[in-house]
Amino acid sequence: MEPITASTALPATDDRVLVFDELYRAHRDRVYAWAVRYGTGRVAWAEDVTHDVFLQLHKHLARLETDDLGAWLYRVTANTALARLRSEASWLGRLSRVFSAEEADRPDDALERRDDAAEALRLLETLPPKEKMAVSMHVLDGLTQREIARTLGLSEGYVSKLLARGWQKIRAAGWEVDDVA
Amino acid sequence: MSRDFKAALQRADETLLAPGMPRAVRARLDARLFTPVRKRERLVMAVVVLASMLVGFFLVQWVAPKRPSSSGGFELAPDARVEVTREAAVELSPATVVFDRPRGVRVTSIGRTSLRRELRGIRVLTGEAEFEVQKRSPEAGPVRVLVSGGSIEVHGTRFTVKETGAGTGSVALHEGAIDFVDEDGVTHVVRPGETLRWPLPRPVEPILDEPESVEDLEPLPLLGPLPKKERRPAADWRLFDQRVHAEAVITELGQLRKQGAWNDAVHLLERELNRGAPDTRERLSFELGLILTWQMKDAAAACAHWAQHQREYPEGRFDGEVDRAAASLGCAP
Repeated sequence: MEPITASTALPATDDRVLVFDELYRAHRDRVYAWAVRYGTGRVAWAEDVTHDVFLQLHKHLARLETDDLGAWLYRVTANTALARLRSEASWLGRLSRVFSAEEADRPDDALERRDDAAEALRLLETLPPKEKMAVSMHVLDGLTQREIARTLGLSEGYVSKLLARGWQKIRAAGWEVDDVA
Repeated sequence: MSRDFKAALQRADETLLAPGMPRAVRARLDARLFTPVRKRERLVMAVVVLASMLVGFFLVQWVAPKRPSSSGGFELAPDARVEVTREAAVELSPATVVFDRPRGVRVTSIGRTSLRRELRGIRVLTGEAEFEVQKRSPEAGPVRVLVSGGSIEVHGTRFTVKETGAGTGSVALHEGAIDFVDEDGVTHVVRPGETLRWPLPRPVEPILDEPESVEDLEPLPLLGPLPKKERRPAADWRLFDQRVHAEAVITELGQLRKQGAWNDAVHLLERELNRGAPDTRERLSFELGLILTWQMKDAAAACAHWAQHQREYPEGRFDGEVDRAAASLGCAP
């Protein structure tokens, strides 16, 4: 499968007459894919993120000024996902997850047969939200530290630290990582 | 054997993304995104329409002229505060405006005022009010404002009426001209800036009351009672005795009084002054002095007459009244 990146995921649009319905139909699958990725395969979670992203698009559509709608959607998706992950990581979020049925919404059975892939995904899920987002964006979206920092509104040094901590935890779990971010 | 984390994660990612967006998720997203958005748009539209209707309604209420209401036969100004009493009168609060449109009258109460619309005119029962009467054609006749002391007849003017409700009051004329007709039918012209008060002064009430018959001429001690069968028309008085002469003169004088024909009354009295019995002459002289004093307001002629009267009747029956009239004119003693 062709990797989805911020620069190629969505075509830029010069059309200023943005029609929400058309934009939604054109971009919903890609936004959903990013959401599934950051949600480590949780379908309902990805659905909620996709919903929130397109609500943001609808809200800002009249005033939206961008030459690259794809980049805008990617940035909004990443930040929406991060906000949601951080919310889940709080004690209140953990408590609510205990009483929700979300744990059942796990990656599908295909992963069960591929132990390495499933294990890597489970390990990714154990990382703190920012580290998880940074590692996902670096490994799966192919972004550099600078691009990650710009997308999430963080400093490049901080992103470097996040990645370093992530790699350390992954190595500690017995994985090999070629540390070239 | 070491495992490559990035390769494993990318394989997992490929597996997760391969199915794409499930149909169920797509349907739910469509429903969640579009239904609420359109509902919200409809809601916003409904709120806008409702707000526009409300604004329009209040605008119409504010701009549209209020329909006049009426009470007691008067049309009320929009903010008029009135009460209708048992006597079919309207009680106006201070500074209240009412209209009698058919008569072209606008009434503004100055204090608490009680009015009643009658067939003859507008009656002021109590209180104080300013009247504005639109100018009327002579054929239309005057508008009458009825008060305890008579009626005020107007053809178009502005004046203030004050009525105590106890038989007294006043009318102050601001512009135009009005006639005040007292209870005796006598007309008094009021000019701008003047205030007429009622009841009108009657210096010597017993004498100014118009005598209806010779019995009013008390006393006529030198003559006996007048038999009714001997009454004759005033024109034939010269043919009868002095008593009949006196009766005729007084009757004619009463008629001239009612008409306000004071000059004719003076001529009549001057002509008849030297005729008849002494008591009759004294009475006629006294009547002449009163008319010169109070109606003609000719101080010089009145003083000269009172001086002559006192010389002719030094111990006269009317000394007290004569002294008061002379003093009021400032006649030399």
